[in-house]
Amino acid sequence: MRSIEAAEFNKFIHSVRNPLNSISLNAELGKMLIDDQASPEQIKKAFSEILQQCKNCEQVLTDMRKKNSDNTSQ
Amino acid sequence: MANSELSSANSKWQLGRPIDNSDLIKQTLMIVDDYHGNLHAMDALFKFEYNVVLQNNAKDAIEYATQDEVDLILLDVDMPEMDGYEACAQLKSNVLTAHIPIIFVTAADSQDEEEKGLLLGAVDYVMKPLNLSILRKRVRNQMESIHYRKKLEILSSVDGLTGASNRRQLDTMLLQHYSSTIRFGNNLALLMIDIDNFKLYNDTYGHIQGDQCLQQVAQAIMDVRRRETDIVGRYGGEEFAVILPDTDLEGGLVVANKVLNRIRELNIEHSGSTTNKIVTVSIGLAVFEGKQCNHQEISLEGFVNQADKQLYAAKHKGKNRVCYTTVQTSVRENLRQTTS
Repeated sequence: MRSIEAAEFNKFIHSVRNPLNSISLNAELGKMLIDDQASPEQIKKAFSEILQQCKNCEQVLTDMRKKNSDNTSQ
Repeated sequence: MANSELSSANSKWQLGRPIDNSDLIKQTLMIVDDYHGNLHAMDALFKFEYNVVLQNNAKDAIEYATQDEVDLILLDVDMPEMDGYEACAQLKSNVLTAHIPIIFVTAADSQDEEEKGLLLGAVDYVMKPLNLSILRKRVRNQMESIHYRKKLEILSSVDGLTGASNRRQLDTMLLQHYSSTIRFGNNLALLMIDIDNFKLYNDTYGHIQGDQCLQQVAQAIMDVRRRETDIVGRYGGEEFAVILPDTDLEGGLVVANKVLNRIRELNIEHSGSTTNKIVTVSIGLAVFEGKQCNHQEISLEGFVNQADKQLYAAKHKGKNRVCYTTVQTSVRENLRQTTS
């Protein structure tokens, strides 16, 4: 793998890892909030964040696939 | 030395007492992560326990830490532009931020990476995905250590009997303000205050009451203090000193006369005194005028000696008064005095 490709690849990993970490973080936060009997609004916020991060992750993967198919067709 | 901090420390903090959440509430936790989703979750986790500061890049985080008080930093490693390792190195090389403990938060899971982080000066290294319960306890452990360290710093600079700054702190602050006075050409006033006939007081009333007298006099001097930058310290025995940065002769005399009056108003009986039947003090005031003095002509020791000489002059003139000099006039041996 050329260095420019390696840099792209690392950037891609970073872009996927961020929402995944955030999903994990907010899922655990949601669990703690339920255990602590926090308000429904707080719990809802954590789950909304998980849904948003899933969308972000999906978007990163879509962009990556598009980029890959563009490169293949050239 | 903030005396309000001291009284708070004395009343609240005792060795061995468990730390309440209320003790830690004002501690500041800075979280640095380039990803908004992570910042949001961490904020929700910590905002009820600490004052949380969120930063989405290392450059802003460093700038904030150099200007505001930060107790602990949770630092993401993998960030664009400046990564966590570089940010840690910069924070540790700056005297203003080197003391701030850093916990790395990272997805990198190799031992080499962990070792690198710890070698840079981080106190802990936490892997993503995070176990929030463990992270919360690790942060709390660090915050407790910081809390104790701060209290020890306060206690190590304070005179145990009176609550004024101790001699070591006084010497440090005097040197600091003297250097700053020379550098910026400001004024610096120094009051040396001695309780009159204190040996006779101890002989008459005993040492326990003597200690109480010292405490009352120290408190009265501290009550006169109006600015955070003014420092009241116990110089030794029954002698106190007050450092008044950026204060001219007129300002120094105002403070000195307030001290004289405040001690008289205490109306502490002193039947053994050879001068008055209440406890009084004598004060020597020296003012260093930065703009008009050639500092090569007078050292810090020389400046302190000038205040001491004025104190002896006040004693010689009958006690219960202030004698003063400015360093420029003292060089010309043109000493002046006043009674109050």
